Parts: sequence; structure tokens; C-alpha cells
Amino acid sequence: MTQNKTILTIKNLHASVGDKEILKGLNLTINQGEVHAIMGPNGSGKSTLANVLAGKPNYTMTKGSVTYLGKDLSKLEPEERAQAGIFLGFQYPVEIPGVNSMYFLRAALNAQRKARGEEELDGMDFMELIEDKLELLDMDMSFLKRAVNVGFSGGEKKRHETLQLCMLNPLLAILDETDSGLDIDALQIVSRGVNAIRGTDRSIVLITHYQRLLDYIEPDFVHVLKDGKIIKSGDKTLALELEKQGYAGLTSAA
Amino acid sequence: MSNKRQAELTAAKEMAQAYADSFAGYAPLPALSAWLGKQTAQAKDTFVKLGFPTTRTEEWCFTNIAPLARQAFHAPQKQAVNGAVISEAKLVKDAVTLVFIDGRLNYDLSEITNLPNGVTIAPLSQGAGLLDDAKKAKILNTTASLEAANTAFLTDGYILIVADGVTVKTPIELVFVGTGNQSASHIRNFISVGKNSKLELFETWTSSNNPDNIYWHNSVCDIILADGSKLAFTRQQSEALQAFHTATVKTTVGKDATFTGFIANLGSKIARTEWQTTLNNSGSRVELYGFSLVGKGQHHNVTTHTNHTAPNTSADQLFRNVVADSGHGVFMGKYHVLPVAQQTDAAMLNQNLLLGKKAKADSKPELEIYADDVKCSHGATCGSLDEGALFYLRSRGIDEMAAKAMLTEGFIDDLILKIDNAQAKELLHSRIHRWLQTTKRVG
Repeated sequence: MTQNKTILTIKNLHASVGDKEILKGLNLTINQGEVHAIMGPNGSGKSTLANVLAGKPNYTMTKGSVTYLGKDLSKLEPEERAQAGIFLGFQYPVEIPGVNSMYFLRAALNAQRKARGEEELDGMDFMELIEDKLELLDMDMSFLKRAVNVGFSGGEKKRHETLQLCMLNPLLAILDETDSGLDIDALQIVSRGVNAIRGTDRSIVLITHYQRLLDYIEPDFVHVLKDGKIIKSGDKTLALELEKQGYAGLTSAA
Repeated sequence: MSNKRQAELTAAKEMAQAYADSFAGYAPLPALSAWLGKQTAQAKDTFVKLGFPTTRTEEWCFTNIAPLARQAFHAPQKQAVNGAVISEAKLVKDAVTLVFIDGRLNYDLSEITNLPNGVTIAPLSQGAGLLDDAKKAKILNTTASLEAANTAFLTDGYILIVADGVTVKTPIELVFVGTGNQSASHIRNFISVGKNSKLELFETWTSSNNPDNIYWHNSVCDIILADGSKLAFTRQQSEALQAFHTATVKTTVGKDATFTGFIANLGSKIARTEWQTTLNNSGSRVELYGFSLVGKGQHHNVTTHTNHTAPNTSADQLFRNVVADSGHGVFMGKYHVLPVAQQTDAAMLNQNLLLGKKAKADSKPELEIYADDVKCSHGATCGSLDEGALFYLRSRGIDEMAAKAMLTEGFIDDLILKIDNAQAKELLHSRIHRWLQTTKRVG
């Protein structure tokens, strides 16, 4: 895990949601092929980090810099970030009534392909591409006919996020509490999807509360976020330590 | 009475008088003249006495039809229309089709060879004799000004009768084409669905290509659903953008019968559709759905009035408007529940999506309930696109304009699912898609 190309460099990042400053000097470097887990107590800024990276309106960078593949990320619109290979797996996927999943996925995939100068996929090519991904995630074809996230159970929503992850095949996947609200079976399925896209050219940021997810997706690095900063980094054993001691124990040690 | 109000009412009457004067030499088709008898003159008196509706009347408070009333309309002249106009406009390709050009039946463009057994369909000018005098008297007796105008200046219409116990497999579609030339067509339709029978009916209101056509389609439709019957009635209003469309659909729903009405409002400068429904027996049900895509300079009004006059009746209504630019969408709905109508179960919702700063929507859902054991709800929402959903789509690489169009399309597409017919669904979907693509209405 060394000397790979740097994908993302976050330096002294300060960010606010509305008027409230949440991130207060965060530093993080992610290289190609690495899996980073970010853990931390409620309100520490984990989801804020994910949303700032994806470009959610009202999440403002106030200080510091985020460089993605050599570009200033703050200059890019959310869709441009996605087209450049950033994917955010939502903690709470949004319902889109009247838009079925197939239509949505194809529009997203083709928008990205078009932006990269690749040919758009027709219905047949698309189906071919999605078939084995559905199988991997234990999903039925009928899923694609349902309106995006409308009436989906918690597990279905997360599987749908994972399906998008597998289809869009990003360079940098940021998965915001993908494990929340999942039973053990669904957790295994979602992890299977994430592991399927794991590879030397892909970087993954896992935001989670629990060690449990990391049993299935083994991280290269674990970071602890507290009060808007990374207060400790280590390898996967750090997560185990946290599981035993809790964040409180760690703070006193830090 | 204030001076201003007085002046407005006087003007409305003067315009009605002017309209009547310009039609002084007009006589309905001979068969209709004979059928209507004295009704023609009486209706003309009623119309002139009432005048055109004004915004001073409760039912028209959001809809100013002075631009219509001020037009110098003429009686329709015979106009040729290309068959491609019909096939382009129709919702259901293989439907039994009657085509009316400026309110007059055109045999050549119609397709009735596939008429199913148990179905009688004819232009009113040929089939009016099928209505008995009691029905005729009830139909023609009116206190509404535009209905009176409809009788007074009747062009033609259709009569459709489905016998008892018939499930009509082939849908029926009526296509009404306005050719412009300031023509005013007053169209009267009568539909009767027999006991336990089922029918899918479509009406398409359109123009012969030129979007600047000015004409007026003023229609009144009377529907009787016998016990246990089902009628799904979808109206596609895609008139020319300078045209006027006023319609009243009056339905009486029998025991355990269901009426499903759908309005797709796309065209017209001013369009108003009023659904009057009476649920007068146990198990009577009405479902009214529809959408309006209201663009620059357009006004769409959907008004519903539902009378619950017997115990154990139900109703469901959902209308969605997308209003862009300087468009104006209006919904007015009322459930009127009589003391006898216990166990009424009725829901009403109007949702408006405003896409521009000048876009406007008025909504007036109402309940008037005199029974004490009922379940009735009503509501209205008005807003712009959901920011969370917009970000979700953009975070997947879909650019902002496309994401907005997709959400808007979804808002309406959701409603099209209420239509059973796959062809009609598909066609309306593509109309919506085109509406969103043709101009930058979203932004």
C-alpha cells in the first residue's frame, strides 16, 4: 500500500453547514487503491465530510483545501465531481417519486459516460451490464421498475446505493454509514458489493460507527474523527481498540 | 353592489349579448333544431341574461375569461383537416374513433368499422332521438351560463350507449379538432353505460397544427353509469396555445359503479374543466385525477364538485400542476356530503410545482359535510423542486437542468399510472417529456 498515486488531499479543512462550523481543520490523504475507515462519535463531522466532498449545497468550505486528482474540488459542481469519479453512498437515500430505478441509473451512467467522452449505453448494453450486479447483490429485476427509493426498506435502500456504486464504478467511493439500519444478512450483501469494486485503482472511504462493518470490508487505515478533526489514525487494529474502549477512552489517551 | 362589480357584470352581459347578436342568423343542424325545439331560444335568453361568467362569481373567482368573451367568434365553416393530425393527436392507436372538425362529425377521418357489439355510437344530430324526453329535459335545463350557450348555439356532439352486461374490449376515442378562424363550437355529448358494463373512453381535444389558431371548444358531457358499471374516461386537452377550452362533465354514478375521470391539460390559452359528480347509491365511487402543464401565458383551471347523496359512497381526487414561466394553475374542489350520506370516504389532494418566480397557483379544496360519520380529507401543497432529491440526482452525475426535468417528469409520471391503458400512458409520458424539453421551462 505504498507509493500509489494520490487521489485526494484534504488540508486544514474547515467547513460549515449553514452558519455552524462543523469541520475544524481536518487533514487526510487518500491514495489510489486504499480503503480508509472514518469512525467517530455522533456529531463529530463524519457525514459533513462526506457531504462537503460530494458538493451538497449549504455545506460550505470556509478554509483549507481539498484537491482531487490535482484539481480544486471546491470549484466543481456536484455533477462534475460525480463525472470525475466521486461517488457518495447516502446515509439516507432520497425518495424520487415517479422516476423508476432503471431510468435513473441509465441516465446517471450515460451522463457520466457522455462527460468522459464515452459512448452512451443503449437499453440492451445497459441490461447486460446490470444483470450480474443485480445477482451479486441478491436483487430482482423487478427492483428496477420501482420508483427510486420509494417504499424501499432500509436494507433495500442500501442495496440500491450499492448497486449504483457497482454500476457507476467510481474512482473514489465515499460510503456514509452504509451499514446503519442493516441486519446481518443485508450487511453481508452490501459488503459483497463494496468488495467487488475494491481494487488497486479504486479508493474507498467508509464512514461508520461500528467495527462490525470492518469485519466484512477490511480497511487499510482507520481514522478517528472528533469535533471536526482527525484525532488519531492507525491500521485496522485501531477499530478493535475503539470497540473495547469507546471513543471516550481514546480521547483521554490522545 | 359596488360600481366596479356592477360594471363588470354589465360588461359580461353585453359581451354575451354581442355574442348572441353575431350568431343571430345561426341555426343548428335541422335534426338538432327539431330536437331542441323551443329550448334553443330559451337557452339563448338564459345565456344573455346571465352573461359570461365573471371573477365575481365564486366558481370563477380565479379564472378571468374576458379574453374569451371579447373575441369575435363565428359559427364553424367546413374545413379540411389532414389525417396525420388525427393519428398524431390520438391517445390510443387502435381505438374506435370518431373525429369532429370544429364540432362537426367527419366520417372520412373516423374509424368505426371495429365497433364492438353492444355499443351504439352516433353524432347527436343522428342519435338524439335515442334520448327520452325526461332525460332531454333534465339535460337541457341549466342555470349555468356556458351550458346555456352550449344549448343555444349547439354545433353537434356524440351519443354513446353501452348495453347492459357488456365489457367493451376496444377503447373508444373521440377526437375534436379546432381549425381556428375564430370558430366557436358548442359540443354536447351523452354517454350511458349499462348495468355491470365496462368501458374505456378517451377524448382528445386538439388543433390542426397551427399553434396560433384561435377558436373555442365549449363542451358539455352528461354521463350516466348504471349499477355495477365502470367507466374510465380520460380527456386529453392539447388545444392550440391561443385557443379556449371550456368543459363541463356531469356524471351520475349508480350503485356499486365506479367513474374514473382523468384530465391531461397541456394546451389552450384558457382551459377550464369542471367535473360535477353525483354519487347517489351505496357503493358509488368517483376517482378524479389529472395534471396540468401550464406554460407562458396559459391558464388551466380544474374544478370538481362531488355530491354524496347516499350512504356508503367514496371518492378519491388527486390533481398535480406544473406551472412554468407566467402560467397560472387553478384547482377548486368540493365534497358536498348530505346528512344521509353516512360512511362517506373521500380524499382530495392538489399539489403544485412552481418552476418560475412569475408562476402562480391557486388552490381551493373544500369540504361541506352534513353527515356525522364520515371520513373526508382535503389538502393542497405548493412548492418548488425538492432540494434533497435534486442533489441526489446531481451527485450521480446528472446535470442540474436534466435533474430538474427528471424530477418534474417524475412528479407527473407518478399520476399517469392512474391510467390503465398502456398506449395512452406511454403517449402522455412522451408529451410531458417533450413539454419539458421543447423550451427551457425548468430553471
